[in-house]
Amino acid sequence: MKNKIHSFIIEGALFCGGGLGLLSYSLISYGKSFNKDWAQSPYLFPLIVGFALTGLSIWLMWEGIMAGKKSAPAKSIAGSQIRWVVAALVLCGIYYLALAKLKIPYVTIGIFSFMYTFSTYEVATVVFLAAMMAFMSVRKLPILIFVPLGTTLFLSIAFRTLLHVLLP
Amino acid sequence: MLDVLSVVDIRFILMVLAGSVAGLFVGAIPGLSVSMATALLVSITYTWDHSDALAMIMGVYVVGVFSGAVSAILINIPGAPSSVVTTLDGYPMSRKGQAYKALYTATIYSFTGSLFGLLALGLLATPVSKVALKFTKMDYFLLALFGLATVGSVSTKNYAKGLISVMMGLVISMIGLDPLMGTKRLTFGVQNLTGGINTVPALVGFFGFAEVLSVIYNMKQEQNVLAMERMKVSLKEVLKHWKLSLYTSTIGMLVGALPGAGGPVASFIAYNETKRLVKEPGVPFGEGAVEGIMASESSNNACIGGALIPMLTLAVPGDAVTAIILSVFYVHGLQPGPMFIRQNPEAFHSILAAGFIACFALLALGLLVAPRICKVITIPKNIMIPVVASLCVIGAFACNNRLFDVALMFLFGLIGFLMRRFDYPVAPLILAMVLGKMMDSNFRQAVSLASAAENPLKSMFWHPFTIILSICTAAVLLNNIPWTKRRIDWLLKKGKKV
Repeated sequence: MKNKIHSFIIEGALFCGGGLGLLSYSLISYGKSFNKDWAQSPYLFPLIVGFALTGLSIWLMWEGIMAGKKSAPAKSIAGSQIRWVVAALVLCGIYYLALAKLKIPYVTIGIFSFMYTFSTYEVATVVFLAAMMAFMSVRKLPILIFVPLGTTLFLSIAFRTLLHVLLP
Repeated sequence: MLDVLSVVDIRFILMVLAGSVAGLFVGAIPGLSVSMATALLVSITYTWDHSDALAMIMGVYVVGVFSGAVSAILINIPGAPSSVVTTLDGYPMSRKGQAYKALYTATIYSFTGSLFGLLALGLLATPVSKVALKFTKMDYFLLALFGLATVGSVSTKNYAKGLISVMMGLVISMIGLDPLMGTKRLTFGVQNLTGGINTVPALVGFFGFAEVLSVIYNMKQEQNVLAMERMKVSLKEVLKHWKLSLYTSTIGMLVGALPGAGGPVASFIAYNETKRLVKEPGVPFGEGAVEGIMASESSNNACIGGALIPMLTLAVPGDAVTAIILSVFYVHGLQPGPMFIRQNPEAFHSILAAGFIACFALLALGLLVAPRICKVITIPKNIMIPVVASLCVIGAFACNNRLFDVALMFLFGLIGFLMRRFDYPVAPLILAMVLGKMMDSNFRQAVSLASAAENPLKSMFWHPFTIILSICTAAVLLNNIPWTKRRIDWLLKKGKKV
């Protein structure tokens, strides 16, 4: 039978790496800086936090070793369900890229615009909301059309018009 | 105290009410914060009379702090860091179909907490400020450390994981320019990180977007079932914790008076104290205990009055919102400080009167309007979640008008999701993030001052408040480390036998 490593040990090792990384960052940066007085050094606090994080991760690994002896079940992420999360993240990534890279010029859409200017945020958000809802199994067409439009209009009026936020 | 009434007229009341309504929605919508709304109000109200400006800002402040609980209870996204604790019991109640009861309790105790804090502001302003003035740099550091040590124990069954979460928050708070010398830390050449990480994208990511990912993760197991039942809640039943609420409000008021600590620390300490005092709650803490909501809401609202005490008498703001209110004072040519109340009684009375009127507005809005917002949770999750995701994006973007913050929000959301999956509490991380810079600067200033003294250790720790805070922090740590806890229990048993 294959011996499973307790998740605490893996998590502890990960944080231990982080703690040691922070320790070495503090020491290297301190070594490079002009100020050689630890009391005034901006790297004193990161050094302390690095020590504490390393200590805590060792404590966590120890708990993992102890729990492993009692053969406690290890926590893991279900592969089938994580695919949904990855898909949602990809969708969000596309939305982010659309907001960051797409340049839709301010176009007043004729008679439907009600003298209102649309831009990247509005177009990208309507598409994102409709895609996200379709991804989450919404199949009713009126919902897929009106909820994204209504939500985007509300957010746009609240943030762009009333709060003067410079939306993309 | 009756002089307070001299500034009240219809226009003043309307200004407070307008601010209160704005505060309710600002606090309830995830991504919008009270500090953001007050900051926006500064630019709108600078041409107004100072009495009108203070009236509206106090309305937003008092009701906004309360309404952070609305989103905390309904969708597990706290509107502000001080509402983080409310999610611990508020959201489980909501999931059990008791959202109305949770909101009712939050409203009643937010009202009593705010009233308590404002009464304290009126009566104790000078004496409390005198005590806070005696705090050393080390005391501020230890107070924050005590708060973080407590948080680690409150929010998880595994103390090591709670403290690791705290450390992660401290690491995030260190990114950017260091608070004393302006040296870049942990930016790794990324220009957008130079200014540090704003609390809003982090808060929205760790609570909002992480929730979105968690729902998607459980999509196949659990389908949109958060039905809300409008239930009859007896005021007598809710008010049975009034004695305890006086204690938690006192904690809130005192912590609020200490600069930097504010609502998050107060609500965590109050929650922990309540957990310690209430041995047999109706429902276990963390699973929908009414006592938990009472502790969090009464203390974070009592902080309002407490935070205003040092702001008015020492010109030292107690939290982010009072820091913005301080700028309103300067814009209007008012100079807070020890002589402020004597020289500008009308401004002081305006703040108190607006605060008291906002308390009653809170009660009315909380009981009449907030339950209507409850309908939000009856919307199917597959419609609600995309809308929340877009709110997260716009909320993260709006604080700095930067897409970089949106990317950070996505990253924090993913980290928050993984933390939830592996049982790491998110609340200590947020609190550490908020307090990190204050801890860093106070600690280094304390060490710098002590290094010049003959006996550095004595210089750092030989003060009454420092000794008390050190003992309290050590007690919390020792009581939560399994090995020392076992040792203490063993020694106590041995002592009893002898």
